[in-house]
Amino acid sequence: MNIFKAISNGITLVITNYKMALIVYLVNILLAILIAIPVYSTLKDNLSDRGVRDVMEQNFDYEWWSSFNFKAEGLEKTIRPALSSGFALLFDNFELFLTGKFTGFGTVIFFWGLAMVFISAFFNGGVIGLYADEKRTFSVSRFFSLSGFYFHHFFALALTMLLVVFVFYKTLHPLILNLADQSAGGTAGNAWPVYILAYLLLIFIIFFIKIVFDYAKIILVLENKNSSWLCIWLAVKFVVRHLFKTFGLYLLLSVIGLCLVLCFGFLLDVVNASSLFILLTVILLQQLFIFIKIGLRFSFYASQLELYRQRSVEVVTGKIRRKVK
Amino acid sequence: MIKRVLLILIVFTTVTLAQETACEKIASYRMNVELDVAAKTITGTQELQWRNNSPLAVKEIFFHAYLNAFKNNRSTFLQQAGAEPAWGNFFGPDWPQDGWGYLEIDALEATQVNKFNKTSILPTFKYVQPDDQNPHDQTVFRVELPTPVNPGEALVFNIHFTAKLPFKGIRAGFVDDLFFAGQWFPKIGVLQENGWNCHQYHRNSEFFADFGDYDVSITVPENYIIGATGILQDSTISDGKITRRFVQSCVHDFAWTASPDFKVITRTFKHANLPEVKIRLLYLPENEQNVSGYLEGTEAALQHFGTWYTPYPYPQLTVVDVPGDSRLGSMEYPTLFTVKIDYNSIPGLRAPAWTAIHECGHQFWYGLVANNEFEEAWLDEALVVYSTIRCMNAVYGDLQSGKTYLEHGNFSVPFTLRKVKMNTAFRAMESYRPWAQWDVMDNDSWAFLNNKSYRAQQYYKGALMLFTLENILGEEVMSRIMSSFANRFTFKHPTTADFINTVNEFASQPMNRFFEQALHSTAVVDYAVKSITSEPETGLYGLDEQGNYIAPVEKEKNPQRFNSKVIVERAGDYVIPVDVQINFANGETSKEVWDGEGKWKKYTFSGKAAVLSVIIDPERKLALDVNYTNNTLYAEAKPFAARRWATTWLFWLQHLLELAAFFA
Ligand SMILES: [Zn+2]
Repeated sequence: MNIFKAISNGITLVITNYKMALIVYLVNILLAILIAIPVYSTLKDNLSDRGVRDVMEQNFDYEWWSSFNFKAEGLEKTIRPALSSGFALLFDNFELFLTGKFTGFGTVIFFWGLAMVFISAFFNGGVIGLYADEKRTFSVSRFFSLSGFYFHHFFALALTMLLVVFVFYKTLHPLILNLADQSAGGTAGNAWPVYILAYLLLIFIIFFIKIVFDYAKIILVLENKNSSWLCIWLAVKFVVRHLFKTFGLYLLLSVIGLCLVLCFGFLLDVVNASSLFILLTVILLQQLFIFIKIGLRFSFYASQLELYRQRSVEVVTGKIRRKVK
Repeated sequence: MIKRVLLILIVFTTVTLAQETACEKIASYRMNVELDVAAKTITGTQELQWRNNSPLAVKEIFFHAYLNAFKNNRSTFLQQAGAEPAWGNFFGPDWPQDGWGYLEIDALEATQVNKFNKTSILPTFKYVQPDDQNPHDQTVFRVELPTPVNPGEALVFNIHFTAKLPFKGIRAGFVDDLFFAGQWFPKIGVLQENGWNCHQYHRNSEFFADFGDYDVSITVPENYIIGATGILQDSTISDGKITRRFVQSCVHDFAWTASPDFKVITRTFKHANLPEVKIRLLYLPENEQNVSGYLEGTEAALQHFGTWYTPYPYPQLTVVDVPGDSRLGSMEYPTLFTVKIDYNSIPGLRAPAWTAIHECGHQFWYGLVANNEFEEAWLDEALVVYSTIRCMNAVYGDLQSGKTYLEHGNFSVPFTLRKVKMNTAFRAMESYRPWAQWDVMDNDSWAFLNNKSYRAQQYYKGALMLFTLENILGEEVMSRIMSSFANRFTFKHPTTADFINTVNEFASQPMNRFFEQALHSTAVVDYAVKSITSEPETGLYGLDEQGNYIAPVEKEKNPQRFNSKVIVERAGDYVIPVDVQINFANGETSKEVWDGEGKWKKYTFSGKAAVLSVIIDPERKLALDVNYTNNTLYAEAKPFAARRWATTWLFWLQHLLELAAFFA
């Protein structure tokens, strides 16, 4: 079975069970709104009766921001010119993965993100559990009970992954960038290819870690294992043995994700929400994007699960064939 | 071995300018030096002709030995530099032994006609520290003459010296095989009516010197390309070395650079009503992308400053591009300046053009109008930043904001925020605002809290002060002030008082209080609209004169008259008259002028319409105002803008949270 089939099967699974994505989307927006409210009230205090509101209705006013930012604290610091660009506000987030500076937006945002890691670990149990089960379809109670059922394992896996990632950002990450510095040579200003290569290598390593932990979850559910550590080991073996397939699938889905980001980035960049109607349209677009991104994340699990299932069936049938001979 | 001697004579049409003869030549230098690229030293001889232009008879002569700032970690310069976080590990304990710089005087003889002839005065040599008595600082020395030199008398000094350039030095030094010689030779101080003005070299200080003629022959390896103050006269090649002679009259310093890596572009600046200038750009191949900005900026500056102030009087201008991560920095010297562009600069901010315009601006403010940069740096820096912003606005209009991604060392990915425009003047405000209340502007350059505060005051507050002045007096008066100041003080050493006098001469009222607050206080300008209340007019109720009770009437739905009250506020401590504009709902406006003296002022209006909004300083005259957002207030709030940006922020956070799930 090829990776395209796995992806198409995976996406079908996600679409038929779209309600799971909806639940996760609701959690996402609720969590975000909790801290968006103080940000809104700050903006209201600073903009709504000041002359600058006329400019800020049309565009982002750098001069206002510069004097606002001078006194800004905490969350207020995250109000920034990059919000004016459909791309920049997305790139700002991706940059965190490449630099490892996860506290760059302040501690509140960092802990909110951390909370989201564990909330997602919870829901991942339900998501993968349901995709793994071929007969039963989605119901809210089943989704939650599966999430609860796998939570201790998935929590352990998330914790382990965070640890691995932390070690990566503290060791390999600076090492690779230092190597890039050295091969770029002290004063030379044009060292683009070297750094691009370094960042690609970093992405490769991050993806490798991610893929291993994805399959660890899948193996845990499919094989009914009771040790998450064992699953990580099995996942490493599986990923290394099928490096091209597993990476091919992951990269293909990532390309789809990238296209999605570029499309929506472009749309949000060209549309200027200067009237209520356009603003509502933009909000709709933004929320649609988040919803699709959640669906895409689930497609990674579903497709990888499909790939794993097919591979192991092939392995098993291969073994049987050998025995028959 | 075949010894090849080649003499190249480059014939220049001698451009004699009327202004050049107008300069008073006090210190003229003839030097013959050789660069040893292995030892990083410049050795040679100097013949200095100096005239006592003061009313004092002096026996002691003061010299600068700037390079000694890099001689040890306790020099005043490095002590001050070490206090800055950015320079913390620079020149630290692990600094290479051959990384230090110094200036050594090997012989020093003085000659005065009919008094003494080639008398060695080296035995009287002594390092002095007029500013801070720091015994480890050797950036100033004094020698004693056999007999005093009287006012009007001339002297000749013959000096042998060795200048060692520091590794990655600030303003002067070497990086790989690029050598930059700035402040590299023994340089006489300025003798004024109250004695010698010869300050030690400080981290923030720049320079001060008398005008004269410079004739310098420089020998370097044959493959090295040289850029220097003045005009190349001739070149001689011998033994794999090339000697080039540069001559310039009526300047007050001489800097040069040499590297085998330079690429050279020459271009002639031409403009009706302005003399032609040959621009010679030396750039490093890695900075090729900045070349058009350098040239555009230099030409724009020569054109605008030549027209606004005074024509650039020299026939040539040399522009030297230095590595983006070097400490050589962007720096001005007569007829030569360096440009250093950060490798991670944001394209939309046009750093190459901005920097070229700024440093070219110094050809006028510092080069021609030669203030004392040690004591009154604002007099050139503020004028240069003001001029640069005006020139940038004239050539490019608004700048484009942006950001860099993945910044690491010299690498970054620039990104332009195409919807976010910014005026060049904002940049001045952004640099000034954080340090507004830490220092006063008109102060010795080493008396500031730190380098940022020094720059905030001398460069940016100064520029904003000049914009405020321009807005108060009007563009035409301001341009007359600036061109008069330039023309009167070309080849002279003006002071702050000279500038204020020039302003007062053209201004309709004396501006002393304006300058007093701007130059000598930490007061900030911040005017704000505090509140607006508009109430429908109600008739009298309560008890009338006879004690009869009058019942209140219900408020009308469409009231005919409103009573409005507007309070404006002086939130800063800088007092300056300000315009107040009140806009009414029916389209009418009322304009008031507030003297700004009180802490607040109340305006009351009674009329057919309610107050819609109030703007204080509607024409934005007060460029020094540190917060313009509070200058406009609407009577009624409208939350649309807040909603727009809050939902965008929400979306950003949702995306971030969704990405966080990656680690689950
Ligand atoms: Zn400057």
